[in-house]
Amino acid sequence: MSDDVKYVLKRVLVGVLIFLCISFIKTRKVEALSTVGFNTWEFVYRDNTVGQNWNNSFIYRLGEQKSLLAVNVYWPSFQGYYNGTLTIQFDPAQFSNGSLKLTNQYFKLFVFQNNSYSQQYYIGTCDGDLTCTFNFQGTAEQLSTNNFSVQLLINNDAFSTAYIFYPAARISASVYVSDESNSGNNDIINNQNENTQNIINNQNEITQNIIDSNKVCDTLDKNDIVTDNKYLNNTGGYYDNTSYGVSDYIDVSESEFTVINEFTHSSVYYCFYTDNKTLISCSKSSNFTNNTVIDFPNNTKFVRFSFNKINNKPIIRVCKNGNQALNDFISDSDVSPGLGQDYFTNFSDDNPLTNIVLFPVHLLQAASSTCSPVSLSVINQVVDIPCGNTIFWDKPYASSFRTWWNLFVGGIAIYYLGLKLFKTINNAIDPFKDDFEHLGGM
Amino acid sequence: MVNAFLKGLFSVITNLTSIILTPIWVGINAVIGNSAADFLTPVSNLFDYLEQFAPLSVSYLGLTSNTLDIIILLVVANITIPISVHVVKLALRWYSALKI
Repeated sequence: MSDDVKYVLKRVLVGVLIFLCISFIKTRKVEALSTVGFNTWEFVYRDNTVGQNWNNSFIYRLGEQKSLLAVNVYWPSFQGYYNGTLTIQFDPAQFSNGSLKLTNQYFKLFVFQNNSYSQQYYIGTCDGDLTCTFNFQGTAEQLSTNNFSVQLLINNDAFSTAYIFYPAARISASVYVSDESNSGNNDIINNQNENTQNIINNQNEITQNIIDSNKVCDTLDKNDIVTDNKYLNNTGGYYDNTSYGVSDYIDVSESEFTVINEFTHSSVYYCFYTDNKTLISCSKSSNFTNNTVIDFPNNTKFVRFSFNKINNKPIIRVCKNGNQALNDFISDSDVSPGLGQDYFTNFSDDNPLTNIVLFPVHLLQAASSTCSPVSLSVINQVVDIPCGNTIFWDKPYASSFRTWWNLFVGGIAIYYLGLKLFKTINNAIDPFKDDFEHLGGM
Repeated sequence: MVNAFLKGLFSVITNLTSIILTPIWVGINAVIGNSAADFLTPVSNLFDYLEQFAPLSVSYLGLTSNTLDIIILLVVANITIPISVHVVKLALRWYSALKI
């Protein structure tokens, strides 16, 4: 047998071994996931008929930002009784038993009535392996706007520290509403109110600690409004509302810069912008807690807030980490008045040349990041392309196909990367073969 | 830890490249004005546009997270081993030069 044949056979054997290893890893039953690709979702039940069941489910892909899932239920104006469950289930094909632990740092569930912060009932946290279920029930008060909502707070930061790829989860909820009275529910709600108050008190304490540790702070209130009687919509445009006002562009270029909410207040709308004030994204938070910290998207330079000005309370506290004492003694302007600011203004490292040269790096970085759906504008029609790596959910007949697909595509990629690694290590074994003249003194 | 290392590696490469290229970009602008930006900005924007399809493409591959993790780890190993070797060589050269 020639050396060439042996060479080929050796590599085929290595490839088969890698295939077998992957097949052992991925022989679990594949269930789950039909479609994916959004950071927030809302189910709305609109039915004026009392005593109906509502249920639905969807797949949620964990993103990079903290997010809120709202399940809104609307009903006629009466004192009603609600009983429901909310379940979070992760794809068992992606996580073998024990590889993912759902802890109370990931999910928190609240019930809101009449979209009022003061009528927020804390339900509980989530602990389990791949599935956890919240049960909630209670009596809704007579509501002028006829709605209450179950809101799931999802802390995606906790996932980002544990996994390179963000997992997807199926979240399903069902709610039954009726006009049946239930005297026992008052006790439940009272307990929930007490729990909520304890949480708020703890959050106040945490917020104060955070603020104390940040020496440079400023507070936004209605005096900071530059565009009155409007608020920002989700595209950065204005909506007319005499109760609201919009702040100026706030420079948040320092990486330590955070925004800490310290109010009991209605909705706050805010938008992120790049250094040339191009809109990055907008968001709305209707249930800020007292220690909520807003995470800025990459490349954020400015933030604008729009907020309700009616109650004349401080809206947002903005802080930058730093040493106040040091700043009191000396600053850039003290050393060289105007020079530092003038010289380094517009000295940005985000220029087209750097961006083009770093395209391969950015591409690799993007490929290893969370998938987000892409919207394309085709002949005045917006086409959404959802993420597709969970197309096997709820398709048991496709499970075997996925296994073989992983074997062939993943196996081939791993095989060639393994060969490349082998060559790399071989080259690294004798790293000084060209350097004897440099090492003569040793 | 792998995630943090990967992010750190990208950050180092990005910042070092930026440090090298930013003065060049400033020089180009000083010589030929905004025409360089007018020409390169659309190209840069096109690349930004293409980058958003990368995670989408990966998700449509249908590979499991375990497989993707292995692939990423191998890519990282292939990149970091030569860099590490060159860093050691550089350190030894400096040591040798200082010793003489």
